[in-house]
Amino acid sequence: MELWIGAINLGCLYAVMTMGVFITFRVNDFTDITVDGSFTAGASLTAVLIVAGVNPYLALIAAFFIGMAAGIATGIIHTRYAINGLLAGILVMTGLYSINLFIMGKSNISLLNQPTVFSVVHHFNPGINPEIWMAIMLSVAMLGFFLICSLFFATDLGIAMRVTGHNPVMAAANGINVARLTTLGIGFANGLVGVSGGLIAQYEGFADIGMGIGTVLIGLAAVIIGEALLPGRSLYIKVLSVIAGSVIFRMMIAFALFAGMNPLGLKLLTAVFVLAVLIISRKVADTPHKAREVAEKMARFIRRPKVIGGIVAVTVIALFVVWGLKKKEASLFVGKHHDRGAQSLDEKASPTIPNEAEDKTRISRSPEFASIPTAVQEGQSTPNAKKANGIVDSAVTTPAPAVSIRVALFQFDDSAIMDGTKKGFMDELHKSGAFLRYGLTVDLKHAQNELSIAQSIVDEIVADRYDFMVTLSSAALQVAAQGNKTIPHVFGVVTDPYRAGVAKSPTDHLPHITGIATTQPVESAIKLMREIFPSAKSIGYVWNPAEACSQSCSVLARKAAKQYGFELIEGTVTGTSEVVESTRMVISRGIDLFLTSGDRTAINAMPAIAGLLSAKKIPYITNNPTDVDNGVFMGVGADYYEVGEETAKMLERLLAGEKPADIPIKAFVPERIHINQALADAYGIKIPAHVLARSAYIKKQ
Amino acid sequence: MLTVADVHKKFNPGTFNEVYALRGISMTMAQGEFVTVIGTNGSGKSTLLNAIAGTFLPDSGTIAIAGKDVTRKKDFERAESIARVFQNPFTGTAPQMTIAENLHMARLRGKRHYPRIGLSTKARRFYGGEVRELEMQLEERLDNLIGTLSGGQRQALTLLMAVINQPQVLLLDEHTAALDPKSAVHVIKLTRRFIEQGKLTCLMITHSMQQALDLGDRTIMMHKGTIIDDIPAKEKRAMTVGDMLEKFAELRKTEQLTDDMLAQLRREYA
Ligand SMILES: Nc1ncnc2c1ncn2[C@@H]1O[C@H](COP(=O)(O)OP(=O)(O)OP(=O)(O)O)[C@@H](O)[C@H]1O
Ligand SMILES: [Mg+2]
Repeated sequence: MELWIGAINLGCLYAVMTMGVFITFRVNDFTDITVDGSFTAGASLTAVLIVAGVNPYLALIAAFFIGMAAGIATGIIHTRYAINGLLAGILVMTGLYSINLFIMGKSNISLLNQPTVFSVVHHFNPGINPEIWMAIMLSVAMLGFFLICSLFFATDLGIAMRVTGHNPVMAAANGINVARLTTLGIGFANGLVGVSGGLIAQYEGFADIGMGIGTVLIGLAAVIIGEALLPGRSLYIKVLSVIAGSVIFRMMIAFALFAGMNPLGLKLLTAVFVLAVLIISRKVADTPHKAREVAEKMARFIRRPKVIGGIVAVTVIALFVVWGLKKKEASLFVGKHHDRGAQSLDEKASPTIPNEAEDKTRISRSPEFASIPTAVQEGQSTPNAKKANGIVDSAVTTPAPAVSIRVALFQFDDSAIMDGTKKGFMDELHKSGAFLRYGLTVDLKHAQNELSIAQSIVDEIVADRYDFMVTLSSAALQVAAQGNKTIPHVFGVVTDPYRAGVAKSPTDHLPHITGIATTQPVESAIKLMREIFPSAKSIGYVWNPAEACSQSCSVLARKAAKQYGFELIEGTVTGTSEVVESTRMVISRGIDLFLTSGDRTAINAMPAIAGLLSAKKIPYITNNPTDVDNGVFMGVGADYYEVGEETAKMLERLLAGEKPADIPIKAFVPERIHINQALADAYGIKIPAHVLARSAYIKKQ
Repeated sequence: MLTVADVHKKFNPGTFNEVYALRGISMTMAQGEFVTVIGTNGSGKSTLLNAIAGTFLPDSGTIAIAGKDVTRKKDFERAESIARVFQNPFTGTAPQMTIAENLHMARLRGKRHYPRIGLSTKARRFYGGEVRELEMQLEERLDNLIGTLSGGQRQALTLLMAVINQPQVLLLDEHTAALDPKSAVHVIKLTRRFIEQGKLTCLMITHSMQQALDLGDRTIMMHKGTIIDDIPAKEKRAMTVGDMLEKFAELRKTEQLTDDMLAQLRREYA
């Protein structure tokens, strides 16, 4: 139930944005990409103002104006300078990226424990379920929004705006300044998008530089769904269809998640859906008569009582089937996956059992099956297969535990670090026997790097009454901390939980949340650099200020560089495409060493950086040990497999009955040094024996 | 009321596609005068109308309405005093909006658009009365979308929208050419009535020589971007279609028309 209510609430908040997209797309007849930027702009300005102590309602008004300014900029570029509308939107959106970063000063601002418009709403809650109370209040707000929008479109200005989009020639012939009204329309639309961004930031509890990506598509999908649902041509129906479309779209996403659909396909599905509807509506526009005939025939057919009965019956059955499948999966879990595990071991004699990485989709269904092969994986020889068979046998023969505990493992995006952590996490739960002892089920939830999906996932986790929630990454932690106030929650792979707003100190944290803080050992790396290179003067450092984690690392790097007598020569980038140039620039300033720490942009471009540096024989140091296999001179960093294990251990303490409130946040950095001796030889560098002695791995070839 | 003085217009100047569409056009129209325009295809008739309406700015020359120079004004700024009906019935109205909304926009021509509900019950009653004049039973359908109307109905509405605010100059560009014969007759009847009732100053392009003779005080003839003849009211009243073609034949002798052009005119106007 809460899942659906949550979807309705999100739908209402996104409806404001959808109305903006509707205005540009349908009223002004203009495909406006600015909204991706103005959504974030509204969110960031709101967040900054609220943190600065401004009333959250005033912050929303500010969000409207910044969105409007962005829209007007697009409008002027388009109408005054006759630049293609799509291009104008892209220009402003790109510019807004920098502006948004500038407004926030960093890439992410937490609003946890800050007053928001929703805290006011909750303050007046007469004592019913907060989500339902929110839904009631939002429905009232949406009614107001509906009335205001309908009335606006019926005013002289509103009619003129509509004429401008439908028929600019006629508008001009009737004395309407088309350029000005188009600009005003786009401005107004983006103002609404800004407000929506501000609302989402307050609802979710944070603003993030990347939160606007894909907003246009969400808006378009909602507009199109609304039109398909309420095809009336009256103004009021159209306004209503925008709000309804937004809510239905969120419900569809919630349903897809509820039905167990892999969110991996969700974005593609949205894109295909929008495309299909666009093509169909174009076809309909081309042949209006035929389309109307078909539509009428369909309508007559659907109106027959038998058909209505049939549709209702099929829907109900489908719902039950989905519901039943879900139920069964949970309760019959133990038996099912053991069967499959045993079977595949028998058949394939073990060595070729799919490993965890390939088994990503299956892991969400049968985590224990996925984790058993890991016991075999390392050696892949007969004794190990035997061992695995033993595990399977014991699992099959051990009676299913009386209790069955469900854990949601929530990740925001993909990376090698995620894979390592997950593996460590599952292996630890397996090794410790937690799986069998607690009849544990671990369901993987993956947000595909998209905020709106993440929100729905958290709603679903809460609605589904999971016993525990584990989040990997700061983004996952932030979304979950806002959406979940009850389920005990363990986080891992978080650089700085204090900045994410869930804690003030290791012991002073939200009562239901605890976890592992893993900072990049930046200082250790720089200290080692000083030990190996006593006479080096400067370090090159290329990073992307839009990354929250990278930002913390850069602060640490500056401090440590100063402490150990280095000059840090920085180059900032906004994407991987700029990394090579920036690295060249840094090299041209005569650096002795080069460092990359926790910056995903630089990490993604690592082969290119390593190539540039090796041509100049400049040692490349990073904060990820395994990077030495990618041409890096030295890697000093956390072993994320161990971070995963540590996260699992914290979960085990909760499983054993401890309360998250009593467990302090643990700073855990399993530091490892990997050395690339082959590169050291090539550069003619002598690495001190005591460093080599501390290294976990020395690459010789 | 309307003065056009030595107006030149070149499209795509200096390119392969250069078209010298208006080559020094000068004409004046007195208050309340109704002038018809005929001419060969591509002679610049529509271009002249567009220049007057402000669709583009002329390269040189001046255009004045009621003594006010509007040469540098944009089309929406001139809309205050100029109303027009296009050849294509789809151009003059917004299909996805209601009859009332379209009329309301025409009513606001030249005024500011404020965020207030101007389309009140009173305004609607007024529009209902105006629409009744069209004799097309549209007064009951004020809330229907324009897109559901026939071409003839749409063109009649566009005409009503053009005259609803008493424009100083009314521009008609072959506004019946795309209609079926019956609707065309009806729209011409309405045109005549509205212009007489409102004593409007009107410039009307037509492809029908009969229309050119029947309607209006004066007839202007254009060719290759220039006005080659201006038939005054007195002379025109006595003319038949045959006389007019005769006139074309004479012009040919003065080398202004080629045989081709004459053949074309006969085809089109006879
Ligand atoms: N916007 C434009 N760009 C380029 N050329 C144009 C433009 N408008 C008109 N022309 C050209 O100018 C010339 C005059 O065109 P115009 O439409 O005024 O002729 P017309 O007398 O109205 O002809 P018709 O009887 O076919 O309507 C034509 O050669 C036409 O191709
Ligand atoms: Mg023409």
